[in-house]
Amino acid sequence: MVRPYPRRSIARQVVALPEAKPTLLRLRVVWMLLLVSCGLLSLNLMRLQVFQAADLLTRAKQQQTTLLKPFTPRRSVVDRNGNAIAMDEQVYTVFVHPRYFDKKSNQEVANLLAPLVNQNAADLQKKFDGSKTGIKLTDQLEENTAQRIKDLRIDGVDFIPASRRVYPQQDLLANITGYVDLAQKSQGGIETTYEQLLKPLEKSVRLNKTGSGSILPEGVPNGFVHQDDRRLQLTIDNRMQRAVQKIVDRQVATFKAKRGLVIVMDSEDGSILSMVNSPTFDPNEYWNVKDLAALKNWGLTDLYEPGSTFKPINVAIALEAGTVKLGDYFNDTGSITVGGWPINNSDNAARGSLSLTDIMRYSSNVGMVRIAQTMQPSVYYSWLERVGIGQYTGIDLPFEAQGYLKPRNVYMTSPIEAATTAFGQGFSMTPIQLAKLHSMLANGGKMVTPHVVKGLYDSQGRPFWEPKQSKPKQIFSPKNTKAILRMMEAVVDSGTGKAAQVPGFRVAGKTGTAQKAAEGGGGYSDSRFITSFVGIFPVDNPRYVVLSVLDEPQGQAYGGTTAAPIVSEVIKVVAGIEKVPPSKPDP
Amino acid sequence: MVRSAPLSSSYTSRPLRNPAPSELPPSARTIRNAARRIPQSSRSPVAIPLRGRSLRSTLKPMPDRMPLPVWLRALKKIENLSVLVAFSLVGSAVLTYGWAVYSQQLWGKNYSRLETLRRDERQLLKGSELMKNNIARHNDPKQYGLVPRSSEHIVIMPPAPLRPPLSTGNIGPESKTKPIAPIGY
Repeated sequence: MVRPYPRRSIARQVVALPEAKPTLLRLRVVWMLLLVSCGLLSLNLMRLQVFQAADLLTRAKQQQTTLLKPFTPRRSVVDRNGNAIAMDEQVYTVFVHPRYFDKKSNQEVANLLAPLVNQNAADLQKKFDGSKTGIKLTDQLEENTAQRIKDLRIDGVDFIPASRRVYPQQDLLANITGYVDLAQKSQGGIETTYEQLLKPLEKSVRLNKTGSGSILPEGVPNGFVHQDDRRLQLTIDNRMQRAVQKIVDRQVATFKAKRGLVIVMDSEDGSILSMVNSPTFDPNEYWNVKDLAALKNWGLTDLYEPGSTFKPINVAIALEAGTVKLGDYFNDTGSITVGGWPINNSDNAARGSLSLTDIMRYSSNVGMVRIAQTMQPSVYYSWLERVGIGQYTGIDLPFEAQGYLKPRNVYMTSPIEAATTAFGQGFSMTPIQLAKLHSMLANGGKMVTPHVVKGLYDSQGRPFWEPKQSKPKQIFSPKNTKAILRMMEAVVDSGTGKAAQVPGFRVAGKTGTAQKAAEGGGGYSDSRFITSFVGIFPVDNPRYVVLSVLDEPQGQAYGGTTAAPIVSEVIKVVAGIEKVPPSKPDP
Repeated sequence: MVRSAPLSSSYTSRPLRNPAPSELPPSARTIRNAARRIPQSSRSPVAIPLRGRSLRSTLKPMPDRMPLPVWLRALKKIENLSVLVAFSLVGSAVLTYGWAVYSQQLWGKNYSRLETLRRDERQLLKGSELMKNNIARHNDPKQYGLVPRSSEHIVIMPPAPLRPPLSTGNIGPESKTKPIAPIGY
């Protein structure tokens, strides 16, 4: 039988559970606890927000932000054809702090780093043992090596970025570019004159970092990462410079001269195609220069008396002044006395009646004095000033020396001054000034400004800045310059400049052999000469001026024997590079 | 909420059956009549018979509410709409956040790539220029059969004589020339 479910509910004993009686005391205690803890929290908040605020802010900035300073290199310099002459690269100074090596021992780190920085591992380890922080490992470390050290992932290695100027052509263009020293200060040359154009614009921005260290690019200004590829383009031709440097080095060694130089100038606009000094220096290691005098570009800085190379200018002045005609003849008596001072020809030969061409051909001092004496001293002096003697050439390289011309009253009172000026002594100029004067003869009488820089262009050739070139002043007339070039051609064909002949080209030139001022003052030295030769070619379409100067060549020291052969070789190089067609005779 | 009711049964034993119409309050009666008038297929659900009970006992749905006032219905519609808008906004906020984080990461990655490329470019340029200088400095061109360029390597050509300009023919406004059109199309 199924027992039915008991329907009757059994009245059970009620077991009263202990009830927590809400009392006022308990409430108050809890409330007090909560209030006290709130108060403590707000006190702590005040401590953090008010008293430690500045300190915490700096610490937070240190941890959360990073300074993004991309490497902005100094603008590079390229030659006429785009070959790099000067460029900037990123280098690092590496500091090591052994305190943070952690798991790696000093010896381990020394062994890892030693081959990369070319130092002895044992020495490195000794250094690490010696100090806990701030050990300078190396500076001027290249980017690639720095990346390899970074890839080793050693804690405690600190990289400080810097930049370094590299000159890939080494000592080829040192006299033109100058150099930038290790403190990033420009010293001489293009680096100094165009410092404002070449200087990089340092930009940096402070950005936030995420917890994992990646950068949040908020607040990066527009155009921040953009770097333009503009570079300074020179008028110098690298190939010509290289070839001419070889020639000058060889000839300076052959004649045992103290130094030599060659300047090749395009007379059309005054751009300099090549400017070579021998000896020169390597701007990558400017501290290794043997002779400090090699640091200066003496084609600009040193004054010298031009001597016979000034004679064509003298003739041009006389022709322009109108006191001399092309068909005039002058009596060369071998020696002449002016104002009590005797003036001789260099070979003391008296040749009698000479035409202008012959005076040039034989480089007759007496003939030149007679030509100068046809002009009033005031007229002659004004012409000297107009031609630019005693002034700067305006070349865009620094440390140019100003030529020296005696003041006007001296010229007016002593006739000897005009006489000595006629054959190139008694005043001084720099070699670049002489090249500028002869470029006036080459381009039909216009005074152009010599310059080395073409402008600031980007890699596509678009110009961003070009030097202001004012319209050249017409000083001589083209008819006279053409005639003078024919006279100078006679010098090379049958005169003192025979060594400058170049087969296939008509070369006009003038030799110069000037005595240097005697040491200890008073007069000229008998044994120390500056020999020079200036050549203009091709005569049928004159364009290029080649000037070569040798300082104190030994032995038979004449312009025709020492400097003229240099010009001949240089003209061959220039004709090849500039694709000058063979010269045609006059119709 | 736990009711602390004593165990002794104090439930009133109400009978579990349909309340007779007479037992219901008057208002319920009219609702029930109203419910009967409304056809079965409309809003009110079908009566579900319960198992274990008498056949007659079914669970009737609660009586229908009064029709909602207009403003309440409008508010309900707005609420539905705003729920949709809220969800879409939240979704787009999440998407935007994700895109922002992604673009920041992308910037960082591409910036480091840019720096690496720039470094490579500098290295390449420096290397090539140094190599050019090295080759030019230490090699005699003659050993490769090279000679300096001179006038022998220049070919001078006289310029071509001036030719008369080509006559293009008279194409006047009344020209009869037809444009050449393909015939077969």
